[in-house]
Amino acid sequence: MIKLENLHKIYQLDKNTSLHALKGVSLNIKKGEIFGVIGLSGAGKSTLIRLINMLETPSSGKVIIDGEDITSYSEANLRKVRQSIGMIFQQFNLLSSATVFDNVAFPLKIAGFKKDEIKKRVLELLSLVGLDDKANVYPAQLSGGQKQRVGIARALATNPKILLCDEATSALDPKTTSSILKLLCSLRDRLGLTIVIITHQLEVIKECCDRVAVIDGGVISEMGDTIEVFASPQKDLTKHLVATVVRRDLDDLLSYTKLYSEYKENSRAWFLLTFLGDRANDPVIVDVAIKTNAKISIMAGQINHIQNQPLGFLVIAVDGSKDAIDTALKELTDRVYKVELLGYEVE
Amino acid sequence: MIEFLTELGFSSYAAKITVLLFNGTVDTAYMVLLATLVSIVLGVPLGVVLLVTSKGYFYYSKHFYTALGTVVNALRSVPFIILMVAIIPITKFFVGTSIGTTAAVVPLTVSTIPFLARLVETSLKTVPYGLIEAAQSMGASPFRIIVRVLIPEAMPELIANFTLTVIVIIGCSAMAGTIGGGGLGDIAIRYGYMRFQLPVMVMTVLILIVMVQLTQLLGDFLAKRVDHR
Repeated sequence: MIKLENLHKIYQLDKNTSLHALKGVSLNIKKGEIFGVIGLSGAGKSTLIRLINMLETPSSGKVIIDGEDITSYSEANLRKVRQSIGMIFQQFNLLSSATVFDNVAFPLKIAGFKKDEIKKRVLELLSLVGLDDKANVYPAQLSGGQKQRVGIARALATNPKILLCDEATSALDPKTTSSILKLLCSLRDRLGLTIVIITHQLEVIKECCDRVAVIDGGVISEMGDTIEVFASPQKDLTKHLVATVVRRDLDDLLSYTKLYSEYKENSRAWFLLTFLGDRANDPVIVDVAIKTNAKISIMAGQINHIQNQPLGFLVIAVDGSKDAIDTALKELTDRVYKVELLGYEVE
Repeated sequence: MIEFLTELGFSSYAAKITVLLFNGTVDTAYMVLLATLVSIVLGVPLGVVLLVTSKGYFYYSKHFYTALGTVVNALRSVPFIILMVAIIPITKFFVGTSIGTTAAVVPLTVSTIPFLARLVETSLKTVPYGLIEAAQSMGASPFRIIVRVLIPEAMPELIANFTLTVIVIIGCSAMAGTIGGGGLGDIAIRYGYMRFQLPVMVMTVLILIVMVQLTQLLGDFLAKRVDHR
């Protein structure tokens, strides 16, 4: 649906300084997918999303929407393409001088719809986002969440195939964020939209993205199914980001206990187990304890749900001889998604 | 008119002066309204041109913007009274004469247009860039963005600046009166100053004060009406 090929964006700030915002980004976003792009501020994510509808022109590379390379389109043709790509913003960007009705009607007027068609469509859209009774109200009288709902209705007015969300929930409180994300998910299911979300909040990714790309310093540093990225982040930045949402307390816990990398007599081995999907429900610890006769203590645990899939973390300490520990490790490896040896605690 | 007033009990002098001031007020109002209208019709587009060619907007051109900006600034630097005399040939070309209220509208307009254009430019710049971006993301053309986004969104500022412009024109129109423009300024000079009739001078000043106050009140009222922020 959306294909980005080796995109570069260089901003010429003045004669001698330039900013290389994107350094060769390639993405392939599938139809009907909710794709998240996460990064710290200045990582290039705002630029990236603006390249998809060509609000920014790439310095090199290609933007292919629905099989058509739009990189070389004229400004007039781009305007046509943009009518099939909705966009919502962090600051909502509603017209303060127009009522909710007129805000939603705006893209329809641009697209040249007739007056009675516009009226029908606007009322339909307002009921879609749950704002039937707000048609004649000005945006200033709405809450942040309601403003973003108007933004969504406006973005969907011309029946776009793609919805771009530029930090759409960053100005909202957690509860409103969650309701907006639920709305986006249901819209995807009902309308078959392809949604691209850029955000610095991992909660947003956790709640509704099928796949996620981590952007760092203008390049995609990591990409994959959301649950995979959460379960086993590879790069430091990703680990750091993931730690803000899942296994938050783990570092804290480990800072109280001195762990050594070498086994000594009478040491306890500490493991971090990651459970994923259906296997998270299996009685792994008891099974392994019975089978290997190892003494297992549970030190910490946490379970999260990412897109309705359980993702669990468990820190355990295993008592016993080196052999017993090795056997336990092997048994655990067979049963859970991932086992990491954190170290040995010396008595 | 004079007879009517004397029947009401006005002395013949008071009646004469009243009629004089009344006609002067009408002349001033005519000059001000016509000059405001022409200034808005020409000044707003000029302001829009300044905006769209400035940095970060649709048709950014450093050279064009600098050149136009220089002309605008130059016109704004010329004191009105000098400008008025300097452009007498232009006034004659448009109106056929350089004397009278209609003739005074030409220099009033010429001096106001660049002033208003700058105010329009800064008013439109107060519209957050995000709104332009949102409109672009819907496929709006620059023209539509100017007409449907920038101008409506900046309307409270625009009205406040139109009000300011009218008040500046009222002031200038009085100056225009001193060199053959007619209106209240003309009366103040001829009767108040040259014939030492202090009450006439005071009356013209009072009428001008009332005009300015009413303009400001109306402007504030309208600006508030269109402000939904």
